[in-house]
This record gives sequence, C-alpha cells and structure tokens, in this order.
Amino acid sequence: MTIIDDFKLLAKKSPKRIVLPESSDDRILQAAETATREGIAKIILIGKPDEVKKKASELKVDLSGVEIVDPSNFKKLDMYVKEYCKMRNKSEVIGRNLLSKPVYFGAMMVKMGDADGVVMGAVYTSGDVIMAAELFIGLQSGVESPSSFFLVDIPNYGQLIFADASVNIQPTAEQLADTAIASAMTAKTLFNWDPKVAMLSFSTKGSAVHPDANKVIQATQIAKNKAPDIKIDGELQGDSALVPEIAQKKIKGDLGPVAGKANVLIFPDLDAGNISYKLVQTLAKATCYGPILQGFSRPVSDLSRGAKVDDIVGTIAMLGVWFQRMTK
Amino acid sequence: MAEKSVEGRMKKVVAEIFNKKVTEISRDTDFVADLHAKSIDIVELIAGVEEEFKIPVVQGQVMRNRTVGEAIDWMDKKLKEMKVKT
Repeated sequence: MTIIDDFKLLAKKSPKRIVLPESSDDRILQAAETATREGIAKIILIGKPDEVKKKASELKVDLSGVEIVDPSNFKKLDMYVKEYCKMRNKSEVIGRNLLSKPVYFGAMMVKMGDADGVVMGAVYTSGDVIMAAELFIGLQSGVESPSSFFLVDIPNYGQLIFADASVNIQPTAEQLADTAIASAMTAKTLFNWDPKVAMLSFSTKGSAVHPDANKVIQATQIAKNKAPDIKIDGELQGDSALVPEIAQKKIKGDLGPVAGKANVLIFPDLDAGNISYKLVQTLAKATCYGPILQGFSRPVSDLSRGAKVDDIVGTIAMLGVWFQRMTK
Repeated sequence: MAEKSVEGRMKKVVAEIFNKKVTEISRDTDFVADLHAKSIDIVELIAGVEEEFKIPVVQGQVMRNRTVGEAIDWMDKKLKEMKVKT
C-alpha cells in the first residue's frame, strides 16, 4: 500500500468536490471518470458541456456523475464577478473577463465554497496556477508567500517533507520562514504528523559564519515569532537534523524537540531542495510525491504537465483528504 | 468623447488597473519601477487590454513591454497586423 492508496481509501469515506478546470485535456477527462467511478471525489469539470461530452465520447470516457460547469451560463456568475470586483477594487469588465477563463473560474469556485479543492497544471503553467490560487483562493493565515513540498518516502527510513520544492528559487528569510510555517501546517493537517521543522544550512548553531547561514538563522527567528507553537530549530546541518547522536555531538546542551528528530526539512534555496530530493530518489530509491503547493487557504494542486492519469487521480484523492482534515 | 487613439486607450486601461489618473500615466511610465507591477496586476492588465481592444493577449507577449510606451507601440503594431490579415 502506498500513501496514495491510503489517501484514496480515506477520500472515499467522505468524497469532496474537486474542480478540474482543464477539461480540454484527455487525461483530465480520464481522471474525472476514474475518480467518479471509484467514489474518490465529486468531480466538477469546467467547459462547454457539448464540447466536453463530445470529447469524452471520442475518448470512450463515461462522465456519468460528473458535473460540467460552463462559466458563461453559471447561475452564480454575477455574484462571482461582484465578489471579485469588491475584493480587487476593479471594474466589472475586468472581473467578467478573468472569470471567463477556466483557470480563474475554477479557483473562484473554491473561494466561494462551491468546490473544496482545485486540481490543475496539466495544461496551465505553474505560474498560471499559483497566480490563480493567490488571486482567488488566498493564502493561509500567517503566510505571505506560497511554496511547495515533496513527500519523500525513503525505504528502511520513513517519510519526510522536503520544502521548498519548486516555487521560490532564492527565498528571502521571510519567504523561508513562510515555507517553514506552511510545511508544518501541511505535516499536521494533511499527514497527521507532529511536525518537527529543521531549517537546514551548511552550519549547525554557529559552526560557520556566513551570510547564507545568517539568513537561515533569521528565517528561523521570523518563523518562531510568527508561529510560536510550531516545533522549529535552525540553523542545522542535515545530519544534525536527522541523527540524534550527531546532533548531540554538534549541539551543546539540550537538543530540544527538533534536532536529531526532524521530519520536515526546509532547504535554504531551490538548488539545495531540488538536488537533495533527486539524490535521495536516485541513491536511496525514495519515492517522491510532488511538488505539491502549500500555503493556500484551500487545497490547490499544480500537476506536472507530464502527469499521468493515475497521478491525477492520486492528487484528487489527496486534495479531498486535505480538505476533510482542514475543515475537521 | 470616447478616446480613439491606441495611446489614449492603453493609458486609460493602465490607469484603471493601477488605480491612477490617466494624466499620471506617460509613455515613459515603467510598469515595475513606477507602478510597482506585480504578476497579479499584469493578469488584470491583460484582461483590461483584451476587453478594450477586443483581441486575445498572451501573457508572455505583454511581459516583454517594460514601459507604457512600449506597450502602446506593441499594441499599435498588433492591431495593424490584424488589419492586414483581415
């Protein structure tokens, strides 16, 4: 059983409304069929019903039980436009134009409570997806910049969260702190973990003096100030974060709740995060799930444009479970 | 009287998106340095430009314009090209 199988089982217990704005993509229609047939989610496709049904018929995809919403005929469109204009202080013409586009309309359905999560990125770029999520869904409380993570499942070790995985290339201390806070929330709500967040560096507690290490120290302090309840420590090297004996050697006195026991690893930049997950995947044969967006007030997924149908169905299940737990 | 020139129409859209007066917008106005444009503003600017000029706009194209003057020239050229095609 993989973690995705677990998510599918959990999702079926209380299927959530997941909106898929990219109905022009074959894989999205196939995933909609599978997720509906297996009872994983209540799927909403965005598009012109005639066009979607025609495409489904060509693909021999059965869309029974799938809701198809056409933004131009949607009964709440005027309400959506009004809400957007109020939120952004813009004219109706701007709101109507943006909400005619599936990527924004899908995100707005989540904001307005007509869907519980949105899965996109099969066609749209990550930039489009993040923009739609920031603009319409908004960030979770205490977070000012979104980020993403990988769930890394390492044979004979266990599971870790690696972040940031794809959004912030050279994060500031503030962005790093936000990534740490969002990752702790993800660990708690999505995976039911007790998060122990390590802010990684090439230095452990002042063993090296360098502006890059200082940035991690500063980020740790910002995160502690913004979210005093999370268990977070830094700056720590990878081994100090994960191995109690090494942490004990490198840190004088009390190790605290994180050093040597971390389950959430925050990398100082995208180079470090990306290189690390690729190495663990290649050398330790880890299975890496992601990148998955985090930091938004409702679940949003940015699929890889190379995502397979199974990946999309797995993501739909995960988002459903995330919403179940966010609103528990 | 409704503004007819591409320059006037573009300035009107830019002013609305960035909550400025049209008189505060010149050809030299820099989207980032002067208007502090963020990605969200660009998305709304595209929506405004699409509605004003009734043509679809790809984000990558508009992002190449650093100043309002460059955006005006780009739109002028685009409209002329469309006229030639029709």
